[in-house]
Amino acid sequence: MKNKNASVVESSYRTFYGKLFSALFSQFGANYVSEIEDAIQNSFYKSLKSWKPNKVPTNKENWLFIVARNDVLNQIKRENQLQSEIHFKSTEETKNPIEDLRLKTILFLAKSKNVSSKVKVIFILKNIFGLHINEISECTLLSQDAIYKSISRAKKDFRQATKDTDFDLTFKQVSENEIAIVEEILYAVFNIGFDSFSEKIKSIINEDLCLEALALAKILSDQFERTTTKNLLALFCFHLARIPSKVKNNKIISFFEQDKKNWNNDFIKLAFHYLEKPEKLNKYYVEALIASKHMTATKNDIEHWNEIIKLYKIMLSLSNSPIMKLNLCYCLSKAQKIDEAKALLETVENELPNEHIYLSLVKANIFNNKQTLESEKIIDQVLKNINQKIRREYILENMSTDF
Amino acid sequence: MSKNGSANCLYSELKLLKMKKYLLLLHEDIEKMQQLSPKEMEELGNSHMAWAEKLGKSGHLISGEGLEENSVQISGKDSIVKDGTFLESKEMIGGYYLLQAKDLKTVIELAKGCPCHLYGGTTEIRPIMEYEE
Repeated sequence: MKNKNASVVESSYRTFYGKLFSALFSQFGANYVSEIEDAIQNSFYKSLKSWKPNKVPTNKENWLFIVARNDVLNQIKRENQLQSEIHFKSTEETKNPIEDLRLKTILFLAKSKNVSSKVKVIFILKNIFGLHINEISECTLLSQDAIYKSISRAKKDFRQATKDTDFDLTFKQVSENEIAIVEEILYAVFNIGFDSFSEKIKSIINEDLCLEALALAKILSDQFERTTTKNLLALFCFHLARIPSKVKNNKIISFFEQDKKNWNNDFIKLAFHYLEKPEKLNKYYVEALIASKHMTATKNDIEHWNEIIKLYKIMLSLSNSPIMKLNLCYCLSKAQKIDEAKALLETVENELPNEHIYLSLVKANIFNNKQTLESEKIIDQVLKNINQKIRREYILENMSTDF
Repeated sequence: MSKNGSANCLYSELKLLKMKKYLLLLHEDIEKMQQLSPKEMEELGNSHMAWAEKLGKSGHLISGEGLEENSVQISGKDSIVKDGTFLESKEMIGGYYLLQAKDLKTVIELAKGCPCHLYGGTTEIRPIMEYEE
Protein backbone atom coordinates (compact mmCIF):
# COMPACT_ATOMS: atom_id res chain seq x y z
CA MET A 1 0.00 0.00 0.00
CA LYS A 2 2.77 2.41 0.91
CA ASN A 3 4.51 2.11 -2.43
CA LYS A 4 1.34 2.71 -4.32
CA ASN A 5 0.63 5.79 -2.25
CA ALA A 6 4.13 7.11 -2.67
CA SER A 7 3.77 7.10 -6.43
CA VAL A 8 0.43 8.88 -6.17
CA VAL A 9 2.00 11.61 -4.08
CA GLU A 10 4.98 11.85 -6.42
CA SER A 11 2.97 12.55 -9.51
CA SER A 12 0.27 14.80 -8.12
CA TYR A 13 0.06 18.31 -9.55
CA ARG A 14 -1.28 19.45 -6.25
CA THR A 15 1.97 18.42 -4.56
CA PHE A 16 3.97 19.97 -7.37
CA TYR A 17 2.10 23.22 -6.83
CA GLY A 18 3.22 23.49 -3.21
CA LYS A 19 6.77 22.47 -3.96
CA LEU A 20 7.08 24.89 -6.88
CA PHE A 21 5.51 27.68 -4.89
CA SER A 22 7.91 27.20 -1.99
CA ALA A 23 10.95 26.97 -4.25
CA LEU A 24 9.99 30.11 -6.20
CA PHE A 25 8.93 31.92 -3.04
CA SER A 26 12.33 31.27 -1.49
CA GLN A 27 13.93 32.72 -4.58
CA PHE A 28 11.74 35.71 -5.39
CA GLY A 29 10.19 36.57 -2.03
CA ALA A 30 6.83 37.89 -0.94
CA ASN A 31 6.84 40.73 -3.46
CA TYR A 32 6.06 38.46 -6.35
CA VAL A 33 3.42 36.08 -5.05
CA SER A 34 0.94 36.90 -7.83
CA GLU A 35 3.61 36.42 -10.47
CA ILE A 36 4.59 33.09 -8.93
CA GLU A 37 0.97 31.91 -8.87
CA ASP A 38 0.50 32.82 -12.53
CA ALA A 39 3.80 31.23 -13.49
CA ILE A 40 2.94 27.91 -11.86
CA GLN A 41 -0.46 27.91 -13.54
CA ASN A 42 1.25 28.63 -16.86
CA SER A 43 3.81 25.88 -16.39
CA PHE A 44 0.99 23.39 -15.78
CA TYR A 45 -0.78 24.65 -18.87
CA LYS A 46 2.40 24.29 -20.93
CA SER A 47 2.95 20.76 -19.67
CA LEU A 48 -0.57 19.97 -20.74
CA LYS A 49 0.23 21.01 -24.26
CA SER A 50 3.72 19.74 -24.74
CA TRP A 51 3.86 16.44 -22.87
CA LYS A 52 2.90 13.49 -24.99
CA PRO A 53 2.49 9.80 -24.28
CA ASN A 54 6.07 9.03 -25.33
CA LYS A 55 7.49 12.44 -24.49
CA VAL A 56 7.08 13.07 -20.77
CA PRO A 57 10.12 14.49 -18.97
CA THR A 58 11.76 12.09 -16.54
CA ASN A 59 11.87 14.76 -13.87
CA LYS A 60 8.51 16.47 -14.15
CA GLU A 61 9.03 18.68 -11.13
CA ASN A 62 12.29 20.05 -12.47
CA TRP A 63 10.74 20.69 -15.89
CA LEU A 64 7.86 22.59 -14.30
CA PHE A 65 10.24 24.48 -12.01
CA ILE A 66 12.40 25.73 -14.87
CA VAL A 67 9.41 26.74 -16.98
CA ALA A 68 7.77 28.51 -14.04
CA ARG A 69 10.96 30.27 -12.96
CA ASN A 70 11.55 31.63 -16.46
CA ASP A 71 7.95 32.73 -16.52
CA VAL A 72 8.35 34.71 -13.29
CA LEU A 73 11.52 36.34 -14.64
CA ASN A 74 9.76 37.23 -17.88
CA GLN A 75 6.84 38.75 -16.03
CA ILE A 76 9.16 40.86 -13.92
CA LYS A 77 11.09 41.94 -16.99
CA ARG A 78 7.86 42.92 -18.63
CA GLU A 79 6.96 45.00 -15.63
CA ASN A 80 10.34 46.68 -16.06
CA GLN A 81 11.27 46.06 -12.53
CA LEU A 82 14.59 44.47 -13.23
CA GLN A 83 16.14 47.85 -13.91
CA SER A 84 15.76 48.95 -10.34
CA GLU A 85 18.57 46.64 -9.24
CA ILE A 86 16.51 44.02 -7.52
CA HIS A 87 18.70 41.17 -6.47
CA PHE A 88 17.40 37.65 -6.73
CA LYS A 89 19.14 34.67 -5.40
CA SER A 90 20.46 32.77 -8.35
CA THR A 91 19.46 29.17 -8.72
CA GLU A 92 22.93 28.14 -7.58
CA GLU A 93 22.53 30.17 -4.41
CA THR A 94 19.15 28.76 -3.56
CA LYS A 95 19.05 25.22 -2.46
CA ASN A 96 18.33 22.43 -4.81
CA PRO A 97 14.84 23.14 -6.17
CA ILE A 98 14.00 19.52 -5.55
CA GLU A 99 14.50 19.95 -1.81
CA ASP A 100 11.15 20.10 -0.10
CA LEU A 101 10.80 23.62 1.20
CA ARG A 102 7.11 23.39 1.94
CA LEU A 103 7.29 23.09 5.72
CA LYS A 104 9.88 25.87 5.91
CA THR A 105 7.63 28.10 3.85
CA ILE A 106 4.64 27.30 6.06
CA LEU A 107 6.69 28.17 9.13
CA PHE A 108 7.94 31.37 7.55
CA LEU A 109 4.37 32.41 6.77
CA ALA A 110 3.17 31.35 10.22
CA LYS A 111 5.84 33.61 11.73
CA SER A 112 4.72 36.75 9.92
CA LYS A 113 3.15 39.15 12.35
CA ASN A 114 0.09 41.29 11.60
CA VAL A 115 -1.44 38.58 9.44
CA SER A 116 -4.46 36.83 10.93
CA SER A 117 -4.38 33.06 11.40
CA LYS A 118 -7.42 32.60 9.21
CA VAL A 119 -5.78 34.46 6.35
CA LYS A 120 -2.60 32.43 6.83
CA VAL A 121 -4.46 29.13 6.70
CA ILE A 122 -6.32 30.06 3.52
CA PHE A 123 -3.17 31.28 1.82
CA ILE A 124 -1.30 28.10 2.71
CA LEU A 125 -4.14 25.82 1.64
CA LYS A 126 -4.05 27.46 -1.74
CA ASN A 127 -0.36 27.87 -2.36
CA ILE A 128 1.33 25.09 -0.42
CA PHE A 129 -1.29 22.40 -0.81
CA GLY A 130 -2.46 23.48 -4.24
CA LEU A 131 -6.14 23.62 -3.36
CA HIS A 132 -8.46 25.52 -5.61
CA ILE A 133 -10.65 28.33 -4.31
CA ASN A 134 -13.80 26.23 -4.57
CA GLU A 135 -12.16 23.32 -2.77
CA ILE A 136 -11.17 25.67 0.05
CA SER A 137 -14.69 27.03 0.08
CA GLU A 138 -16.18 23.56 0.50
CA CYS A 139 -14.04 22.70 3.46
CA THR A 140 -13.98 26.00 5.31
CA LEU A 141 -17.64 26.94 4.79
CA LEU A 142 -16.43 30.35 3.63
CA SER A 143 -17.79 31.87 0.44
CA GLN A 144 -15.54 31.93 -2.63
CA ASP A 145 -15.66 35.71 -2.58
CA ALA A 146 -14.43 35.83 0.98
CA ILE A 147 -11.59 33.49 0.06
CA TYR A 148 -10.51 35.58 -2.93
CA LYS A 149 -10.46 38.59 -0.63
CA SER A 150 -8.43 36.76 1.99
CA ILE A 151 -5.88 35.65 -0.58
CA SER A 152 -5.29 39.11 -1.94
CA ARG A 153 -5.24 40.43 1.59
CA ALA A 154 -2.64 37.81 2.48
CA LYS A 155 -0.44 38.83 -0.44
CA LYS A 156 -0.48 42.43 0.67
CA ASP A 157 0.11 41.57 4.31
CA PHE A 158 2.98 39.20 3.61
CA ARG A 159 4.61 41.78 1.39
CA GLN A 160 4.38 44.30 4.22
CA ALA A 161 5.44 41.86 6.89
CA THR A 162 8.53 40.75 5.02
CA LYS A 163 9.60 44.21 3.91
CA ASP A 164 12.24 44.77 6.52
CA THR A 165 13.13 41.23 7.45
CA ASP A 166 15.99 39.32 6.02
CA PHE A 167 14.29 36.82 3.81
CA ASP A 168 15.34 33.29 4.49
CA LEU A 169 13.43 30.08 4.90
CA THR A 170 14.72 28.35 7.99
CA PHE A 171 13.83 26.20 10.96
CA LYS A 172 15.59 28.59 13.33
CA GLN A 173 13.95 30.87 15.91
CA VAL A 174 10.53 29.35 15.84
CA SER A 175 8.12 29.95 18.72
CA GLU A 176 5.66 27.51 20.27
CA ASN A 177 2.81 29.57 18.97
CA GLU A 178 4.08 29.39 15.41
CA ILE A 179 4.38 25.63 15.60
CA ALA A 180 0.82 25.51 16.95
CA ILE A 181 -0.35 27.43 13.87
CA VAL A 182 1.45 24.97 11.62
CA GLU A 183 -0.20 22.06 13.45
CA GLU A 184 -3.57 23.69 13.04
CA ILE A 185 -2.95 24.06 9.31
CA LEU A 186 -1.89 20.44 8.87
CA TYR A 187 -4.93 19.34 10.86
CA ALA A 188 -7.21 21.37 8.59
CA VAL A 189 -5.58 19.97 5.46
CA PHE A 190 -5.89 16.41 6.70
CA ASN A 191 -9.57 16.82 7.48
CA ILE A 192 -10.20 18.24 4.05
CA GLY A 193 -8.47 15.27 2.47
CA PHE A 194 -10.33 12.81 4.63
CA ASP A 195 -13.69 14.10 3.51
CA SER A 196 -13.08 15.08 -0.05
CA PHE A 197 -15.53 14.02 -2.66
CA SER A 198 -14.84 13.43 -6.32
CA GLU A 199 -17.71 12.41 -8.56
CA LYS A 200 -15.33 11.55 -11.38
CA ILE A 201 -13.18 9.02 -9.64
CA LYS A 202 -15.95 7.86 -7.30
CA SER A 203 -13.91 8.64 -4.26
CA ILE A 204 -14.73 10.30 -0.99
CA ILE A 205 -11.20 10.53 0.30
CA ASN A 206 -8.29 12.44 -1.10
CA GLU A 207 -5.63 10.11 0.15
CA ASP A 208 -2.67 12.03 -1.23
CA LEU A 209 -3.70 15.17 0.63
CA CYS A 210 -3.96 13.18 3.88
CA LEU A 211 -0.58 11.61 3.29
CA GLU A 212 1.02 14.97 2.52
CA ALA A 213 -0.31 16.37 5.78
CA LEU A 214 1.07 13.28 7.54
CA ALA A 215 4.47 13.63 5.87
CA LEU A 216 4.79 17.30 6.78
CA ALA A 217 3.62 16.64 10.35
CA LYS A 218 6.32 13.98 10.62
CA ILE A 219 9.01 16.47 9.53
CA LEU A 220 7.61 18.99 12.03
CA SER A 221 7.69 16.39 14.78
CA ASP A 222 11.26 15.31 14.00
CA GLN A 223 12.38 18.92 13.91
CA PHE A 224 10.80 20.26 17.10
CA GLU A 225 9.86 17.15 19.09
CA ARG A 226 6.64 18.51 20.53
CA THR A 227 4.13 16.16 22.13
CA THR A 228 1.23 17.99 20.46
CA THR A 229 2.70 17.19 17.05
CA LYS A 230 3.02 13.54 18.06
CA ASN A 231 -0.60 13.55 19.18
CA LEU A 232 -1.56 15.03 15.84
CA LEU A 233 0.35 12.23 14.11
CA ALA A 234 -1.51 9.70 16.26
CA LEU A 235 -4.81 11.16 15.18
CA PHE A 236 -3.81 11.08 11.50
CA CYS A 237 -2.72 7.45 11.76
CA PHE A 238 -5.95 6.28 13.43
CA HIS A 239 -7.92 7.86 10.59
CA LEU A 240 -5.60 6.63 7.84
CA ALA A 241 -5.89 3.09 9.19
CA ARG A 242 -9.60 3.06 8.34
CA ILE A 243 -9.31 4.28 4.75
CA PRO A 244 -9.24 0.77 3.22
CA SER A 245 -12.70 0.04 4.62
CA LYS A 246 -14.32 3.45 4.30
CA VAL A 247 -15.66 2.78 0.82
CA LYS A 248 -16.89 -0.48 -0.63
CA ASN A 249 -18.43 -0.97 -4.08
CA ASN A 250 -18.67 2.81 -4.48
CA LYS A 251 -20.59 3.12 -1.25
CA ILE A 252 -19.60 4.85 1.94
CA ILE A 253 -19.45 2.45 4.84
CA SER A 254 -20.34 3.95 8.18
CA PHE A 255 -17.80 3.58 10.94
CA PHE A 256 -19.81 0.95 12.79
CA GLU A 257 -20.38 -1.18 9.70
CA GLN A 258 -16.77 -1.24 8.60
CA ASP A 259 -14.92 -4.51 8.32
CA LYS A 260 -12.26 -4.12 11.00
CA LYS A 261 -10.18 -6.81 9.36
CA ASN A 262 -9.45 -4.36 6.54
CA TRP A 263 -8.08 -1.68 8.82
CA ASN A 264 -4.41 -1.11 8.33
CA ASN A 265 -2.66 -2.50 11.40
CA ASP A 266 0.61 -0.74 10.68
CA PHE A 267 -1.12 2.61 10.93
CA ILE A 268 -2.91 1.56 14.13
CA LYS A 269 0.39 0.50 15.72
CA LEU A 270 1.97 3.75 14.63
CA ALA A 271 -0.98 5.68 16.05
CA PHE A 272 -0.57 4.10 19.50
CA HIS A 273 3.14 4.79 19.28
CA TYR A 274 2.44 8.51 18.86
CA LEU A 275 -0.41 8.63 21.40
CA GLU A 276 1.80 9.97 24.13
CA LYS A 277 0.08 11.58 27.09
CA PRO A 278 0.92 15.28 27.04
CA GLU A 279 1.68 17.34 30.16
CA LYS A 280 -1.08 19.74 29.23
CA LEU A 281 -4.13 18.35 27.44
CA ASN A 282 -4.51 19.32 23.81
CA LYS A 283 -7.32 18.75 21.35
CA TYR A 284 -5.35 16.42 19.08
CA TYR A 285 -4.66 14.10 22.00
CA VAL A 286 -8.31 14.01 23.06
CA GLU A 287 -9.53 13.49 19.50
CA ALA A 288 -7.00 10.72 18.96
CA LEU A 289 -8.12 9.17 22.23
CA ILE A 290 -11.74 9.25 21.05
CA ALA A 291 -10.76 7.60 17.78
CA SER A 292 -8.81 4.93 19.64
CA LYS A 293 -11.74 4.22 21.98
CA HIS A 294 -14.09 3.84 19.04
CA MET A 295 -11.69 1.62 17.19
CA THR A 296 -10.94 -0.66 20.09
CA ALA A 297 -14.44 -0.85 21.63
CA THR A 298 -15.88 -4.34 21.68
CA LYS A 299 -19.46 -3.19 22.11
CA ASN A 300 -21.34 0.02 21.55
CA ASP A 301 -23.50 0.07 24.67
CA ILE A 302 -24.53 3.07 26.74
CA GLU A 303 -21.46 2.67 28.92
CA HIS A 304 -19.24 3.07 25.85
CA TRP A 305 -21.13 6.16 24.73
CA ASN A 306 -20.92 7.70 28.17
CA GLU A 307 -17.18 7.32 28.12
CA ILE A 308 -17.02 8.99 24.71
CA ILE A 309 -19.31 11.77 25.96
CA LYS A 310 -16.86 12.45 28.80
CA LEU A 311 -14.04 12.84 26.29
CA TYR A 312 -16.08 15.13 24.04
CA LYS A 313 -16.87 17.32 27.02
CA ILE A 314 -13.15 17.63 27.73
CA MET A 315 -12.69 18.33 24.04
CA LEU A 316 -15.13 21.21 24.15
CA SER A 317 -13.16 22.80 26.95
CA LEU A 318 -10.21 22.88 24.52
CA SER A 319 -11.92 23.63 21.25
CA ASN A 320 -14.95 25.61 20.29
CA SER A 321 -15.67 23.76 17.08
CA PRO A 322 -19.37 23.42 16.21
CA ILE A 323 -18.56 20.10 14.52
CA MET A 324 -17.26 18.74 17.84
CA LYS A 325 -20.49 19.91 19.45
CA LEU A 326 -22.45 18.02 16.81
CA ASN A 327 -20.40 14.92 17.50
CA LEU A 328 -21.29 15.29 21.16
CA CYS A 329 -24.98 15.74 20.24
CA TYR A 330 -24.86 12.48 18.36
CA CYS A 331 -23.17 10.66 21.25
CA LEU A 332 -25.71 12.07 23.72
CA SER A 333 -28.54 10.75 21.59
CA LYS A 334 -26.87 7.33 21.46
CA ALA A 335 -26.67 7.38 25.25
CA GLN A 336 -30.41 8.15 25.36
CA LYS A 337 -29.81 11.67 26.70
CA ILE A 338 -32.15 13.16 24.14
CA ASP A 339 -33.06 16.34 25.99
CA GLU A 340 -29.45 17.24 26.61
CA ALA A 341 -28.70 16.55 22.95
CA LYS A 342 -31.51 18.82 21.79
CA ALA A 343 -30.43 21.65 24.07
CA LEU A 344 -26.90 21.51 22.73
CA LEU A 345 -28.16 21.23 19.18
CA GLU A 346 -30.01 24.51 19.58
CA THR A 347 -26.78 26.32 20.40
CA VAL A 348 -24.98 24.77 17.44
CA GLU A 349 -27.71 25.78 15.02
CA ASN A 350 -26.73 29.41 15.37
CA GLU A 351 -23.10 28.67 14.65
CA LEU A 352 -23.49 26.87 11.34
CA PRO A 353 -24.99 27.94 8.05
CA ASN A 354 -28.59 27.09 7.36
CA GLU A 355 -29.14 23.60 6.04
CA HIS A 356 -25.65 22.47 6.96
CA ILE A 357 -25.71 18.82 5.98
CA TYR A 358 -24.03 17.28 8.99
CA LEU A 359 -26.11 19.42 11.33
CA SER A 360 -29.30 18.30 9.62
CA LEU A 361 -28.30 14.67 9.80
CA VAL A 362 -27.56 14.78 13.50
CA LYS A 363 -30.80 16.63 14.05
CA ALA A 364 -32.76 14.07 12.08
CA ASN A 365 -31.11 11.30 14.03
CA ILE A 366 -32.02 12.83 17.35
CA PHE A 367 -35.62 13.40 16.34
CA ASN A 368 -35.74 9.96 14.82
CA ASN A 369 -36.03 8.50 18.28
CA LYS A 370 -39.38 10.11 18.95
CA GLN A 371 -40.75 12.27 16.20
CA THR A 372 -40.40 10.33 13.00
CA LEU A 373 -42.31 12.84 10.91
CA GLU A 374 -40.06 15.70 11.90
CA SER A 375 -37.07 13.55 11.14
CA GLU A 376 -38.31 12.60 7.70
CA LYS A 377 -38.91 16.23 6.82
CA ILE A 378 -35.34 17.12 7.65
CA ILE A 379 -33.96 14.21 5.67
CA ASP A 380 -36.02 15.18 2.62
CA GLN A 381 -34.53 18.65 2.82
CA VAL A 382 -30.99 17.26 3.10
CA LEU A 383 -31.47 15.00 0.11
CA LYS A 384 -32.69 17.90 -1.95
CA ASN A 385 -29.52 19.83 -1.20
CA ILE A 386 -27.05 17.05 -1.69
CA ASN A 387 -25.73 16.71 -5.20
CA GLN A 388 -23.37 13.87 -4.58
CA LYS A 389 -24.78 10.53 -5.59
CA ILE A 390 -22.60 8.45 -3.30
CA ARG A 391 -23.60 10.49 -0.24
CA ARG A 392 -27.27 10.46 -1.16
CA GLU A 393 -27.25 6.70 -1.40
CA TYR A 394 -25.49 6.49 1.91
CA ILE A 395 -28.06 8.61 3.66
CA LEU A 396 -30.99 6.81 2.09
CA GLU A 397 -29.66 3.47 3.19
CA ASN A 398 -28.62 4.47 6.65
CA MET A 399 -31.16 6.93 7.89
CA SER A 400 -33.92 4.41 8.33
CA THR A 401 -31.87 2.75 11.05
CA ASP A 402 -28.79 4.68 11.98
CA PHE A 403 -25.93 6.53 10.36
CA MET B 1 -1.09 -19.19 -48.26
CA SER B 2 1.76 -16.72 -48.43
CA LYS B 3 0.29 -15.26 -51.60
CA ASN B 4 -2.99 -14.67 -49.84
CA GLY B 5 -1.16 -13.12 -46.93
CA SER B 6 0.65 -10.56 -49.01
CA ALA B 7 -2.55 -9.81 -50.90
CA ASN B 8 -4.25 -9.05 -47.63
CA CYS B 9 -1.39 -6.83 -46.59
CA LEU B 10 -1.54 -4.94 -49.86
CA TYR B 11 -5.25 -4.58 -49.49
CA SER B 12 -4.97 -3.02 -46.04
CA GLU B 13 -2.25 -0.70 -47.30
CA LEU B 14 -4.52 0.39 -50.09
CA LYS B 15 -7.27 0.92 -47.58
CA LEU B 16 -4.92 3.03 -45.52
CA LEU B 17 -4.06 5.08 -48.56
CA LYS B 18 -7.68 5.82 -49.03
CA MET B 19 -7.85 7.32 -45.57
CA LYS B 20 -8.59 11.00 -45.64
CA LYS B 21 -6.81 13.54 -43.49
CA TYR B 22 -8.49 15.91 -41.10
CA LEU B 23 -7.19 18.78 -39.05
CA LEU B 24 -8.74 18.98 -35.62
CA LEU B 25 -8.39 22.47 -34.18
CA LEU B 26 -8.80 22.93 -30.44
CA HIS B 27 -10.40 26.22 -29.48
CA GLU B 28 -9.87 26.72 -25.80
CA ASP B 29 -11.82 28.91 -23.44
CA ILE B 30 -8.91 30.92 -22.08
CA GLU B 31 -10.73 32.16 -19.03
CA LYS B 32 -11.78 28.68 -17.99
CA MET B 33 -8.31 27.29 -18.56
CA GLN B 34 -6.82 29.91 -16.27
CA GLN B 35 -9.27 28.98 -13.55
CA LEU B 36 -8.48 25.27 -13.48
CA SER B 37 -7.25 23.82 -10.21
CA PRO B 38 -3.96 21.91 -10.19
CA LYS B 39 -5.97 18.73 -9.86
CA GLU B 40 -8.17 19.52 -12.85
CA MET B 41 -5.11 20.51 -14.86
CA GLU B 42 -3.53 17.16 -14.08
CA GLU B 43 -6.69 15.27 -15.00
CA LEU B 44 -6.98 17.18 -18.27
CA GLY B 45 -3.36 16.43 -19.13
CA ASN B 46 -3.87 12.75 -18.42
CA SER B 47 -7.05 12.68 -20.49
CA HIS B 48 -5.29 14.24 -23.48
CA MET B 49 -2.49 11.71 -23.21
CA ALA B 50 -4.87 8.79 -22.93
CA TRP B 51 -6.90 10.07 -25.85
CA ALA B 52 -3.85 10.60 -28.07
CA GLU B 53 -2.54 7.17 -27.12
CA LYS B 54 -5.85 5.57 -28.06
CA LEU B 55 -5.90 7.34 -31.42
CA GLY B 56 -2.29 6.38 -32.00
CA LYS B 57 -3.04 2.74 -31.40
CA SER B 58 -6.08 2.72 -33.68
CA GLY B 59 -3.99 4.34 -36.43
CA HIS B 60 -6.01 7.55 -36.57
CA LEU B 61 -3.39 9.90 -35.18
CA ILE B 62 -0.78 11.37 -37.53
CA SER B 63 0.48 14.14 -35.27
CA GLY B 64 -0.59 16.74 -32.75
CA GLU B 65 0.97 19.71 -31.01
CA GLY B 66 0.12 22.33 -28.46
CA LEU B 67 0.55 25.95 -29.52
CA GLU B 68 2.18 28.80 -27.62
CA GLU B 69 -0.04 31.73 -26.77
CA ASN B 70 2.00 34.39 -28.52
CA SER B 71 1.24 35.00 -32.14
CA VAL B 72 2.35 37.17 -35.00
CA GLN B 73 0.02 38.29 -37.75
CA ILE B 74 1.23 39.51 -41.12
CA SER B 75 -1.21 41.14 -43.43
CA GLY B 76 -1.61 43.14 -46.61
CA LYS B 77 0.64 43.45 -49.61
CA ASP B 78 2.98 45.54 -47.51
CA SER B 79 3.28 42.61 -45.14
CA ILE B 80 2.50 44.54 -42.02
CA VAL B 81 3.64 42.59 -39.03
CA LYS B 82 1.48 42.74 -35.92
CA ASP B 83 3.04 41.25 -32.86
CA GLY B 84 1.57 40.02 -29.64
CA THR B 85 -0.79 37.74 -27.89
CA PHE B 86 -4.38 38.31 -28.75
CA LEU B 87 -5.79 37.79 -25.33
CA GLU B 88 -8.76 40.06 -25.83
CA SER B 89 -10.55 37.21 -27.52
CA LYS B 90 -12.26 34.72 -25.27
CA GLU B 91 -11.18 31.76 -27.31
CA MET B 92 -7.82 30.77 -28.65
CA ILE B 93 -6.52 27.90 -30.74
CA GLY B 94 -4.53 26.04 -28.14
CA GLY B 95 -3.43 23.12 -30.25
CA TYR B 96 -4.22 20.77 -33.08
CA TYR B 97 -4.36 17.13 -33.96
CA LEU B 98 -3.82 15.85 -37.49
CA LEU B 99 -6.00 12.77 -37.88
CA GLN B 100 -6.77 10.27 -40.58
CA ALA B 101 -9.98 8.36 -41.05
CA LYS B 102 -12.07 6.84 -43.78
CA ASP B 103 -14.73 9.53 -43.59
CA LEU B 104 -15.91 12.64 -41.79
CA LYS B 105 -18.44 10.68 -39.79
CA THR B 106 -15.69 8.64 -38.15
CA VAL B 107 -13.69 11.76 -37.31
CA ILE B 108 -16.73 13.39 -35.74
CA GLU B 109 -17.16 10.36 -33.51
CA LEU B 110 -13.47 10.44 -32.60
CA ALA B 111 -13.49 14.18 -31.95
CA LYS B 112 -16.44 13.90 -29.59
CA GLY B 113 -14.10 12.20 -27.15
CA CYS B 114 -11.51 14.97 -27.28
CA PRO B 115 -10.76 16.16 -23.73
CA CYS B 116 -10.76 19.75 -25.03
CA HIS B 117 -14.53 19.74 -24.48
CA LEU B 118 -14.23 19.06 -20.75
CA TYR B 119 -13.62 22.70 -19.80
CA GLY B 120 -15.56 24.85 -22.22
CA GLY B 121 -13.44 24.19 -25.30
CA THR B 122 -14.70 23.67 -28.84
CA THR B 123 -13.18 21.47 -31.50
CA GLU B 124 -13.32 22.22 -35.19
CA ILE B 125 -12.76 19.65 -37.91
CA ARG B 126 -11.26 20.81 -41.18
CA PRO B 127 -10.91 18.15 -43.87
CA ILE B 128 -7.58 18.48 -45.65
CA MET B 129 -8.11 19.16 -49.33
CA GLU B 130 -6.88 16.27 -51.42
CA TYR B 131 -7.52 15.70 -55.12
CA GLU B 132 -6.22 12.84 -57.13
CA GLU B 133 -4.26 13.83 -60.17
